[in-house]
Amino acid sequence: MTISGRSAPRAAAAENGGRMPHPELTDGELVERVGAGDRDAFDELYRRYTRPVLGLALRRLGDRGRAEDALQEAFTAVWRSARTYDPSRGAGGAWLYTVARNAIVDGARRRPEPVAAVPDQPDEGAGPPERAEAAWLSWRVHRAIADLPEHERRLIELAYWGGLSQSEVAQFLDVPLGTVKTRTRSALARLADVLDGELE
Amino acid sequence: MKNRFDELVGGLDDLDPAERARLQRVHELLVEAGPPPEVPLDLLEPPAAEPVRLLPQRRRYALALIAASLASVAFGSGYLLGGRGDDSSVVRSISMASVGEGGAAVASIEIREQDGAGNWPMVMRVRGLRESRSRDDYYELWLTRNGELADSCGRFIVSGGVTEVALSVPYGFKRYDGWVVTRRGSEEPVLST
Repeated sequence: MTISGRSAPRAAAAENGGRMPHPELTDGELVERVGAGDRDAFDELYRRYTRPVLGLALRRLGDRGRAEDALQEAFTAVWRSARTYDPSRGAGGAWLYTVARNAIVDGARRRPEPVAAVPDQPDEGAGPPERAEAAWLSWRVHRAIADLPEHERRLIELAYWGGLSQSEVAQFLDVPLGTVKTRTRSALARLADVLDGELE
Repeated sequence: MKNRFDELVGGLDDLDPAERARLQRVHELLVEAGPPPEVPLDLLEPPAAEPVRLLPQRRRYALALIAASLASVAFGSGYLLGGRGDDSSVVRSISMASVGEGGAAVASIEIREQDGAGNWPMVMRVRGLRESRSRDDYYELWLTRNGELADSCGRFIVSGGVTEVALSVPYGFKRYDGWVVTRRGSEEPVLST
């Protein structure tokens, strides 16, 4: 595949209102297509996972600039190693998580952040297993949010992380309060379907 | 936040206990996960399909050079990818939150499809900024580059409640890395992505 080969799918995406051609495929199917050199599939994976990968990198590296670099490295790693994906060994999202995490960790090792001072006290925060579990949880949740319809995604972000009450969200979005509550419930149900494994 | 579940979803009398518990668990997961990060404009486009070795801290500039070679669709094409609004004319939604003296303000920007002349119409909604005292006490929306104010997207004044303003700019967004709102007389942001 050549760089110039990207032009056609981009143009097609622009013509159909910015939507990518593979919204119906599972993550695993997309990874398989990426392994076969499908640029459109790669773009769709990027759209779905930009925020989860950036969130993972931020969590791991704690620095915005380094995390943004790591995001690029992670997706380059996805492109390079997609042909090794074996759907019988796990879901596409889990595979992508592993590849992204390894790319982030490898990048951090290659370019360690200078240590200004050694802390006097031991870190009493969460240990590695707890941090790993929290990172995986955020990854799943952020991935699920990425696929919500736009009007539900904005509502969830305003209500949960914008600090607005439902009345304020209704006023902000200029929709009735009842609509906000209905959409919130609908969004939560949609997320519940996607996050089924996390709910047990 | 955990106690807000009932407020967020409204009356749940019509839900069976199992469904209520399921939704509440999702609510708790959202609280635990925290907000997903905002993605800078210049990272909305995927990296080149041909893997390239890039210099640390500068790879986005190299990617910009690669993107520039995509002559036929480079302008704004990657920008289109992120949006999936139910309003088909919205190609991207941007969220902003208060910083500095912005108090508890929030804002959103809906970028609409490019018009025939090449402008990007947008609708900005702002809530929580201090009210403008006069017409001269305006706010200004900026695109930023390398952490500096780069190009203005327009000015507006704020009254109580939600202020909605229609703006339009001719810029190619890929040249920028963020959005901020400033108040007249200061370059300190009161809202930022």
